[in-house]
Amino acid sequence: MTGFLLRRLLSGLFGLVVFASIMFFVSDWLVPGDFASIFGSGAAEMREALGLNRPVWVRWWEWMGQLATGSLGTSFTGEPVINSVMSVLPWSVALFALAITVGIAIGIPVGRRAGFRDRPLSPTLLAAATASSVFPPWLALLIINLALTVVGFEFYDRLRRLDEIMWDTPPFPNTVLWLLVGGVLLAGLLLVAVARASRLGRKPWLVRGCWLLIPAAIVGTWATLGILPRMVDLLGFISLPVLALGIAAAGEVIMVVAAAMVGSSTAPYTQAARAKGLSTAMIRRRHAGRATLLPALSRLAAGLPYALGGLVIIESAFSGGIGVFNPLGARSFDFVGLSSIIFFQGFQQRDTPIAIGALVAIGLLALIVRLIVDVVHVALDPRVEAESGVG
Amino acid sequence: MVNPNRLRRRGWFRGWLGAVLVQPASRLGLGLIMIFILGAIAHPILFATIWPSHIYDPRAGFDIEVMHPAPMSWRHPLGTDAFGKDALSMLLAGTPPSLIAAVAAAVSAALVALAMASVVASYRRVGRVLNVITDGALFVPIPAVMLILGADPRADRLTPLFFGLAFGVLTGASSGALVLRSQALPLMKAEYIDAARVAGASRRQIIFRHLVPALLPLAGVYAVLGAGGAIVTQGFLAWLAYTAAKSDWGTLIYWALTTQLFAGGLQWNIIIAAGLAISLLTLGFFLLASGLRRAAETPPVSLRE
Repeated sequence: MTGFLLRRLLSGLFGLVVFASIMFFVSDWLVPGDFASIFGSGAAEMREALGLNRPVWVRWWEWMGQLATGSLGTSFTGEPVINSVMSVLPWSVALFALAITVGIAIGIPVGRRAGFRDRPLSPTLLAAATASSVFPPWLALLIINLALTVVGFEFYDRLRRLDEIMWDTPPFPNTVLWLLVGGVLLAGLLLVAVARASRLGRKPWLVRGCWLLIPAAIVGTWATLGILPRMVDLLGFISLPVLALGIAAAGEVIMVVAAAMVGSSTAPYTQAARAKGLSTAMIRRRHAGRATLLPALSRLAAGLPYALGGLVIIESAFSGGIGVFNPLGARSFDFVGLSSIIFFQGFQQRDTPIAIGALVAIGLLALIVRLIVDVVHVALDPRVEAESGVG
Repeated sequence: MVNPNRLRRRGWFRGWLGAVLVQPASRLGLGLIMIFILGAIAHPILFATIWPSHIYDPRAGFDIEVMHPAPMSWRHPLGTDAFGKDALSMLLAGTPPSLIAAVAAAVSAALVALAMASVVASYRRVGRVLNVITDGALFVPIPAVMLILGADPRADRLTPLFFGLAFGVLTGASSGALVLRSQALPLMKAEYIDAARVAGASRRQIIFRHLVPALLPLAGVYAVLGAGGAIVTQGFLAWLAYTAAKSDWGTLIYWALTTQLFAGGLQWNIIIAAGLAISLLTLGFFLLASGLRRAAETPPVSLRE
C-alpha cells in the first residue's frame, strides 16, 4: 500500500509541476502587461528591479528552484507566496472538506435509494441534476437573501463580518480553523472505523451509539479546549458557503451513485438476497450499495476538476468586502480563500507568481483528496494496487 | 453501388441514436436545449417582424411609455431593467454566446479526449507524457485557469468561441482523457484487436477503425458534460465581467447586481431569468449526458444482434 501511494503521490506531484509550468509559460505569453506596467512611467525601472526583462525560461528555472524548497515562489511585492497561501488555506480546506462531507452524507444514501428504483426521471434524480447544474453565484445570492430573511440583517451582518468582530484576540483564527479541519478528519476516520465495525455485524446497537458519539466527542473536545463559542461562530460563518457548495456536491454525488446503481435491482445477487428473505433496505445497503461503490468512486475521482471549479466559484461568490470587487456588494461575505488570491491578488494586480502559487496549492489540496480516494479504493478492492502499473 | 461498410456504420449509428433517444433523460435534455436554440433563432425574427428595435434592442432599447424598471407585462414579458432595456430581448440575445461556447467546448473536449486516449493506448512513450499532463490537469480548477488565459479584460480575448475551445481542451485533457484511457487500455488487449494486428493492420488503422468507434459513445458523454461545465464557467466569468461577450447571461446578472442602487433594489426579474437560463441550459446538457451514458453502457440493438 505504501509503495502504491508513494507512486501515486510522486506521479501526481510531477503532473502538477508540469501543468503549473505550462501555465507559467502560457500566462507569460498571453498576458500583455505585467506587474511593472501598473507603475506607468516607472515601469522600466520596476521591470529591471524585479527581473521581469529576463527571458521567461530563466524566470521559470528560478521559480522551479523556489518550488523545490517549498516556498511556492516569491510574489512581486517581495513576500513569499507560501505566506499568502497559508494565511487563507485553512478557509479553503475547511470549506472543501465540510462541503464534500455534506455532499457524501446526503448523496450516498439518497443516490442509492434513487438508483435502486431505477427510474431515470424520478423527482429525486431531477432535483439532483438541477442542484449540480445550478449557477453557483446565483445560488449564493439566493442563499444569502434567504439567510437575511430568516435571521435578520443584524445577525447576518455580524456573521458575515466575523473576522472583524470575533477574531481580533488569540487564539489565532487559523489555529482554531485547523482544529475544525482536524475535527472533520477525525470524524471521517471514526466513520470509517464504525463502517468497518458495522460490516462485521458486531453489536449493531453499539455501532448506532458510535454515530452519536462522534459529534459529541468533537463538541466535547472543543469545550475542553475552551474554544466552543468561537467554533460555533465559525460554523455559523462558514455554514452559508458550505450550504451552497454542499448542495452542488450532493447533487453530483447522488447522480454518480444512482448511475452506478443502475441495474443492481435486477442483478442475480439481488435476486439471491431477495430469495433469502432480506428486506429491500438491507439488500440496497449491504449488497447493491457495496457492489456499486467502486464505479461510483472512480467517477467521483474523475469529477474532481468540476468539484475544484465549484470551490473556486463559490469562494468567489462569498468573498467581498475586503477591498476587492464583488457584484454581490454589501451582501457578500468576507470569505477569503485561495481563489481570492488567484482572482484579486494574482489576476487584478497581475502578480503571476502568486496566481500560479495558489493554483499549485489548490492542486496539492486536490492531490490529497485523490490520495484519500485511492486509499479507500485499494481498501475496497486490492486488485487496484496490483493493476496500478497499467494505467 | 452502396458501400456495405457504410451501411453497417449507418445501422450502428441509428441503433445507438435510438438507444439515446429511448432514454427519458436524453429526451428531456434535448427538449431543454431545443428551447434555447429556438429562442436564439426567434430573436432576429422577432426584431424583423413585431419588435421595434428602438424599444427592444438588447443594448440600446428604451420604452418611453413605461416607468423603468418595469414589472412583467404583455408588452415586456420579463419586465425591463433600470435603463429601460427589455429583459426578454436581453435574455434571448445572450443565448447565442452560451450555445457557441457549449458547442465549441463539446467538440474540442471530445476530440482532445479521444486523441489523448488513443495515443496513450497505442504509443506507450508519448502516452506516458500525455498521462503526466492528464494527472496535472486533473488537479487544477478550470475556472481559475480560464481566468489566467483571458487575463487582460481589455484584450477581449475570452470570446465565446475561444472560451469554449479552451474549456473543452482542458476538460478533454483532464477528466475526459482519464476516463477514456481507462476504456482504451483494456480494449487494446481485446482479441479482435490482436486479430487485426495479425492481419497486418497498421496502428493508424487500428486506432481509426477499431479504437475510436468503440470510444465514441463515452467521448460523447464527456463532450456533453464539457458543454454544461462551459456554460456555468462562462456565466461565472461574465458575472465577474471578464468575458468579451457583453450581452451574455452572466453579464446580465452582473449589471442587475451592480446597478441595484440606481434601480432601487435587486432586479429579481433579470436575476432569476438569467440565472434560470444558465441553470436550465446546463441541466439540459447534463441530462443529455446522463442519457448518453446509459446508452453507452447498453450496447445498441444492432451490436447485440
